[in-house]
Amino acid sequence: MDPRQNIRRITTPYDDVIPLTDESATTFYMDVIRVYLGLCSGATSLDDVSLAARELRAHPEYTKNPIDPTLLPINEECKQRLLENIKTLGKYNLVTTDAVKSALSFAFLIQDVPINPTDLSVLRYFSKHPLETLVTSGENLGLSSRTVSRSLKRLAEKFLVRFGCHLDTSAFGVQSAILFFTVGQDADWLQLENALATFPFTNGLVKTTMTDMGYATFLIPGGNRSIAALRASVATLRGTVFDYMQLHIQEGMGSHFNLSLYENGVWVFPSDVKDAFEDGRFPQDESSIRHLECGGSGKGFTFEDFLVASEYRTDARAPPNRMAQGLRMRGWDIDARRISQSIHKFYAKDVAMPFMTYAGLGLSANFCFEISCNDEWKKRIQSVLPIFPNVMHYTSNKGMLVWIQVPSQQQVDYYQAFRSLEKEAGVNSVQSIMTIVQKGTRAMHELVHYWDHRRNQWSVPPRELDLGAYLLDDNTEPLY
Amino acid sequence: MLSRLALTPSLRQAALAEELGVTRSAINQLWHKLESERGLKIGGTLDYGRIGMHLVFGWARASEASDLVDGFTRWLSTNPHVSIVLESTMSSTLDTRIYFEALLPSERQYSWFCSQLERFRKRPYSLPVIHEKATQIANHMNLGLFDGQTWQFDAGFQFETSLGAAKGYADILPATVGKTQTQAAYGTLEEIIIAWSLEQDYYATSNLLAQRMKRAGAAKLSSGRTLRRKLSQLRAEIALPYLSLEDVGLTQRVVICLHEPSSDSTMSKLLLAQASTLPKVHVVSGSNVTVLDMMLPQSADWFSLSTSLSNLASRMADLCTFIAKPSKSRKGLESMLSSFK
Repeated sequence: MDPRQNIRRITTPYDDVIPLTDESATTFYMDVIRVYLGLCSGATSLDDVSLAARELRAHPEYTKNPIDPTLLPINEECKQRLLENIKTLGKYNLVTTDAVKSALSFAFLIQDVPINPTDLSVLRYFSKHPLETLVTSGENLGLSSRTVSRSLKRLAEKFLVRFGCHLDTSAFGVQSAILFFTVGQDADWLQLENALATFPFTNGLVKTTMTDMGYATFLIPGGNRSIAALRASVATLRGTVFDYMQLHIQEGMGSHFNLSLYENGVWVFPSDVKDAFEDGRFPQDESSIRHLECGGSGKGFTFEDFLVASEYRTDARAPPNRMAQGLRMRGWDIDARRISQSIHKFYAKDVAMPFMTYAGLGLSANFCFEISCNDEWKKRIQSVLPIFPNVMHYTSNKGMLVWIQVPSQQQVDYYQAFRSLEKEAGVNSVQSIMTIVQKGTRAMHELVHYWDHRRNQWSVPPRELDLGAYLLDDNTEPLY
Repeated sequence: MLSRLALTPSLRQAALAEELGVTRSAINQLWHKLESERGLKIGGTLDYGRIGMHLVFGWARASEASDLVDGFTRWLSTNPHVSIVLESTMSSTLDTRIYFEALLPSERQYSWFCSQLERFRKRPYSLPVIHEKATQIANHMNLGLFDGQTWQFDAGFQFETSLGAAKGYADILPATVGKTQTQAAYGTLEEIIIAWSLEQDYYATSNLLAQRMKRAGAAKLSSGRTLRRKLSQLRAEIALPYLSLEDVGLTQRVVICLHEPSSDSTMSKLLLAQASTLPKVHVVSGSNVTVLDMMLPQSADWFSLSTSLSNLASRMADLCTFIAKPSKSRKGLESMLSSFK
């Protein structure tokens, strides 16, 4: 079957400016552009776009760069920038994967545009109360619900406001893990990247061309047995493929958005950041920490709940009937009432924590820190995180990972605050990666093939978890 | 006037007035105003080798700040021949870089300086230092990007694609974009003082030169005519004019350090060819190493630029972009003159 059957059907008014290519990875990005432009111009129906997007998700390049054209912001500015960029590529006759990828990413790099006071107060409000209804939020903000609704729409377009959800996947028998690594001197990253992208449990991949450091995130179904198999396999990679390597098994997660630092169009640098991690400052007020602890399976969730959770994670404000539609597109029929029940269950059993994300507004520097530390320091660091402008964290058996978004003028100070942690006795190391944009991850839905409906549990053959076999040369003996 | 001057920095005021169709006094007034308010200068990019000097440049790399890095920086800063030391405030490779340039007045001093760098490279220090002798230097200012208020410089997609498009043609790009460094055994005191004057002002007058020579204690002064002749001869031979302005909104210092294996100089050629399109840049290049010390508007995202460059560079190349203190300036020949007395 033609893997691009539905993509080929998409026509756009700009087909003559989209360059053609035979190269598979380049084709992927061209297809993303085509589907997006089709969607923007209204020339293609939503159903056709969804089918095309599904084909894109099956492409190995999607794991490396999970760009879903249906989730890209639809606005004239981005569209025009994208068109300009591809025209430039055409002019230079430059049709390489890197060039097309750049054309796409630079088009959606959010420009700093001013925010009006209403939008700012709505943004602030929803950063604290992501699931609030339009009516209640309107009452609390002194605005009509219509104004709030319009403002949210504007925020989604101009500042890419999205409502996501931290999810304790362990409750569904799926363990999240992150492998932080430094590519070995003799290893070929492009080959490794391809191998990591084909590993069925890879959920996201981040490595810049600037340093040898990167990380891969995994979602591993099947409980402790699966994790043990992954661990054993990963151990073989140290010193061969990776010079440095640390496998983090998730214990918890959370995020903080401190919009109170944004005053009159500029970000204030909090004076307490410089000595934020100094000894005398602990314990800090722990009540403001937003943290979701992984509690493991045994909370009575079903496979259907897992499907709902996968959909809910991408948009925590989507009404159940729209979620039902989304699930139907993927081939599952779950009605809106059943979806609502599942969502209630997530909150009743503490496995979900909603959050709001946004882009632009001057937070252009992105860092990821891998902090290897003891349990006490995990708590200490968490207690400091609420003072940062935009931060997400992931705690693990090895320490924690922290992603921060900060204004570029203050990037050095924030960076140094984290680096200074290395001096502390309970902190073994602090490694960092700097990126232009934060990358998304693959949807959790992709794991459904591993669900054994007959036995009503995950079933993963251990050899499929042998990451080493994917990354090492074919002649290396597999572990299983 | 500035735009015209940026295209041809060697234009004299009279020629400028004629080309622009305004009076000489108008140009003169404007010139003086820009000189006092914006540091307008037509400087000279020199062939230091022609006067027996050696320009050495390079950098040290460390995974983090340490006593060793501090020691190295201190050593460089106290050396009278080191014309600039730039410490990275933050680098794309997330390590610490110490960039330096040094002007060594003789072969002996040059060898000594290199041996000292070698000492740092060896145990017990083991500091990775890369250095080379410069084969060319260039200074550019691209006022075409400036509308009097803001700089139209896209450090993102446009920069990346223009480099990417030229990549296939790297072989035929001009390899020299500035002043090539030759190597003479020595320069006379007179030549060195002329060079110093030309470095500061491409149109230094012979009167000023005579004064400087007297102050420097030159034993025998050439006659006014001989001096004029020598000045214009050396001007043509060792200096290239360039336009420089201060306080025009270029507040961010971004340095690109590239070390390419000798077999592949694609990236270096691309950077050299692209240099003149940057707002303001000082370029130093050797056989395997190229450095661009740029001043960019605050709005330019140095990290995007760095990402674009690494996307284009081969794996063999060591490419690092870093931001550094914008206020640090390069010492010229003047500060070196004490060692000639």
